[in-house]
Amino acid sequence: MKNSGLIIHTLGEFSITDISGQHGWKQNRSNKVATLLQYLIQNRKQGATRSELLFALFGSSDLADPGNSLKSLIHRARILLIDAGLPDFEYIQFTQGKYFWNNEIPCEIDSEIFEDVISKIENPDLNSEEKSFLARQALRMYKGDYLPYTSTESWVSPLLVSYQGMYHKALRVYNKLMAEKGEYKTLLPYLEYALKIFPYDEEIHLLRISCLYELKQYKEALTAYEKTTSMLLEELNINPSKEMIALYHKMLNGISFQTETLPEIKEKIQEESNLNGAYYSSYLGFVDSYRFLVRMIERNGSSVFLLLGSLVNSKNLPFDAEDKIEKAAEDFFHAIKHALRRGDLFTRYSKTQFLMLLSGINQENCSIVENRIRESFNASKSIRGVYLQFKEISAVPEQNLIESESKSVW
Amino acid sequence: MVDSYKEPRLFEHSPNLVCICIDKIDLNITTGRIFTYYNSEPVIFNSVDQIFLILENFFDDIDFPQASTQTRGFAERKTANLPLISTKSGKIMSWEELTGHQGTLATFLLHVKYRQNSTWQGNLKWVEKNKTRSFQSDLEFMELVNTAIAEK
Repeated sequence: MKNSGLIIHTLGEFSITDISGQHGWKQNRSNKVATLLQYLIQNRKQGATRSELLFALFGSSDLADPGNSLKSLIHRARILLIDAGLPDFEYIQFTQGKYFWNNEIPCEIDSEIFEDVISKIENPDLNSEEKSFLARQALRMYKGDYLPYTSTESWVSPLLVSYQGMYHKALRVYNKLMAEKGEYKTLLPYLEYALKIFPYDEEIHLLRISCLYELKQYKEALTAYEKTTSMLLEELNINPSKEMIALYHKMLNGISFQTETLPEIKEKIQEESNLNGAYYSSYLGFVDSYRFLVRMIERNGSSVFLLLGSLVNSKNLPFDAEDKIEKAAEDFFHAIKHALRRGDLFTRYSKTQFLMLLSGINQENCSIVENRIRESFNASKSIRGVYLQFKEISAVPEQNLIESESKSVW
Repeated sequence: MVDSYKEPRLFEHSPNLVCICIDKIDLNITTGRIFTYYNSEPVIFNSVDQIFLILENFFDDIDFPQASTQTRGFAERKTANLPLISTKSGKIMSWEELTGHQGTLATFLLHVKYRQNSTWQGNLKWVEKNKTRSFQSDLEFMELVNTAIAEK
């Protein structure tokens, strides 16, 4: 079996190729033969008993003839590998009551090497050069989740999570080392690659935005921030974390714009066109506007109300038809935009809720506005079974109303 | 160094600043004058309740501070005999002129900041004592005035 080693990929894909890389087999859908091979490769040192193997493959489901099913799978596995052009070996062996992956075939398994590299990173004797070399190696090896087509199997999930954790660890180490050296240009592609694997990972988004900021690519950093926050809200229904908000403020404070004349600045910050309808802003923009407006009320005496509009079902419970929420929210957005005045402000607060800030209005007139939104929504809505619910509250914070404890005493 | 510090002019920029002069208490009837930026001639009141009614009309008239709710009641508010503060001529008094008035018994400067929850929130300064108190409702405001009068 000399010169006949195999290279086995388990991260991001499952494939077995010969050492030359010319022949091999790659899994492209979920199937039992692959699961059998994966289980035996994963447990190649200790092997697996028949019942263990049957449980890993078929769970607790009753099989008419489990022994035969297993034998047939083992046979099919061998045929599959040989048909793929791999050497004619007994890949699966049965000794001492256990099934084994043939350990006499030299194998290079990426997850094992990956694990080994990760454990080396922790060695305190390494200098930063060596550490960053290892971290870079680990980051390049991780092509995606462990055994992607088998990820739902109960024995795969803990391993998958564990490898994900290792990858994150390597990324953090590498990010720290590169940041210390100011090598953000080298770091950026690794963060972008990481986001291809984990597109919804807020931590990695944060690292990337931070990296862009350090590279002085301010416009890209702000765009990435906007995209990330709206993506997190729309896809996962989560508002920006404290860390994200802190980074946003850091960016705004740190960005030094080029010297420009006042009219140029004015032109830059004004709205692009004279659009009709209420003003839509990001959640953070809304928070800033609210805080500012509350201060203005003290001076201009206007009555301002916060209005929360929610999409609900016929039982007044939050509308939860996942596939229809986005369309309903879009209809809600347009209804608000057209029913409110130009001087009013609104934002999306959650998947099913919009927050509005109405000025120069009293509580009774809020219901007139609510009805106007409802009419507009009902006239244009494209989904059945969705309704609107509103709640309103004066925008003045309670603490502004209660200034001191003095009660009619001089 | 020249001492350029000036005492801040209390509520100077609030268009609804009111100077209330208490002139006489006779058989529990409190009478006095009300001044605003909009009237050089005083508006006379004959009870503490009347101060509230006169000023509620005044705030509605200048729309400051805006009320967060519409006025409701079991009966229509009787405003026929109520003296009105005319705001037609606009702001005609300076801060010095407005705050320069003095009541025979007591003088108050009133600044209503908000009209939330169908009532008033703001500050009241008793000029003679140079003390300022905040209140969270119109009732508290009236109690502050009454307590001050009782102390006289």
